[in-house]
Amino acid sequence: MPKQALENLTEAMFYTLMALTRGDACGTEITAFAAEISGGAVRLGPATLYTLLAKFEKEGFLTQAGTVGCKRYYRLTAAGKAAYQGERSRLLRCLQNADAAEVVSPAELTTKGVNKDA
Amino acid sequence: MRDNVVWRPLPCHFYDVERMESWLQEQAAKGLFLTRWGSVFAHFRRAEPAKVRYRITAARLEGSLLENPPEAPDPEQRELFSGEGWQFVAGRGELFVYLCSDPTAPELDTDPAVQALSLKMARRDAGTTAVVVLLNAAVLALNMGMRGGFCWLRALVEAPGTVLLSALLFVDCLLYGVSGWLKLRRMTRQLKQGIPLDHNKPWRAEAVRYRASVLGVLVLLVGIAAVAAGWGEPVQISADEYGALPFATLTDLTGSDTVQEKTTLTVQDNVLAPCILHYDEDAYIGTAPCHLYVDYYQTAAPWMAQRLAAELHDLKKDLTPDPVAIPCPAGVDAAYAYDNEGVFEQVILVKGDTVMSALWFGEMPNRTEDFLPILAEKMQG
Repeated sequence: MPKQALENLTEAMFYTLMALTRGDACGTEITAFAAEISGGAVRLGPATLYTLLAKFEKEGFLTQAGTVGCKRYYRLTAAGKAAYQGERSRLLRCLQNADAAEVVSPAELTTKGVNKDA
Repeated sequence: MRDNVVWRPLPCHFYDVERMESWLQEQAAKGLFLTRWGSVFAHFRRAEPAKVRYRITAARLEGSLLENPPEAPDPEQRELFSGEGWQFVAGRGELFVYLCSDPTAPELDTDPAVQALSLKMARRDAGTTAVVVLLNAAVLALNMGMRGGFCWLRALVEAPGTVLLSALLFVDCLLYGVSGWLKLRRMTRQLKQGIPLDHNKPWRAEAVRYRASVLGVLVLLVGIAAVAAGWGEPVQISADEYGALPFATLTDLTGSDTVQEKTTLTVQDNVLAPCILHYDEDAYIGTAPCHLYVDYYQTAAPWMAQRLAAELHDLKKDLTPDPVAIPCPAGVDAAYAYDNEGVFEQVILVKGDTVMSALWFGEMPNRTEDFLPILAEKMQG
């Protein structure tokens, strides 16, 4: 279990940071981006996004980049980029391991205690 | 116009978010839409029944409990939420209520783990309520202890209605605070496990229990108000009107040279003490002034009389701090004496279920040892 709330990023957290890697964005733009890039699979609820933007700002993952009317714009910081890249790498590793697991036969697994006939 | 405004008692603790949302949605389906949200009642306006979603979310994510939470969302939050079809309805404490009539609009909270993070201030607020109640009780106990010892039995015997009702009210307030904290804790655990809230949770069974407990608190408050208004209060009468007193007076102790200047007698009775007398006598023995204070309790049980004996000394220990060894007179179960270098003297006698404290000062002709047999003989128990 992660000791820090933002140690392992949830889907909503990941897509929020992803949106900001493309440049400064407000909440509405982040929501629209997440829906578009995921083909509608990821919908960020306004309360979820509002909470995430505040928490990320407190953690130093992003800063405020100005306001236009009532819309506040956010910018990803170096710490935010590192958190995003770290999660991206973790997910890629998981995906690569999953792909490898489909190719490697049970006999080739070297882990002790594995029931190779299972 | 008046028919468009409806009040309904809340069905549950306002931190019971799932049931509260479910209840609000059912009210909307009957044509009642929330406008204000109080401690006991919610205020609705009548309109066409509609199938809507109500969601309750955190009013603020950070802050100090010494500051009041916001009464309405900030412009950024309002803009973000309304852009997705959610309108702010009302706020109470650390929670805001939102309404959405568009069934295609996304949920307010789409990530349970993030929703759990947002409830930090609400959890703090709920925990603080219980702590504040306990602190108030601790301060009260400390205050009573500093003023004259923690004389809980004397307080109970002299004002059983007030003490019992106040104790029940305190317990109820404590349970209310703890209950809110427990509900939020359970909800947070569920969200951290990735399980979203059930926005249609059945609320009726909880409403019966919750509304009964609220009614109970109102009854307690009315009871306390009735007692405070004078029901069961002690009555002051003259000693002559009372008749033969069940304890010794200055005349009994010192003889016929005593001239009474002034006496005050208060009389009280209740289920825990069928007879409580407080007697205050100023007199002259010759030309020397002297004073006698008697506290007399006929209680419901001998153990209460024994316990009261200790408390009656605690009340006067600033005047008579030093214990004095005395024999136990005949016909008495226990005898205690205290003085203050001979200036103030106090004797406490216990006989069955009765306890009496006699404290005197002035130019008395005799000492405690001489008064003891008279006090014991005159005491009725």
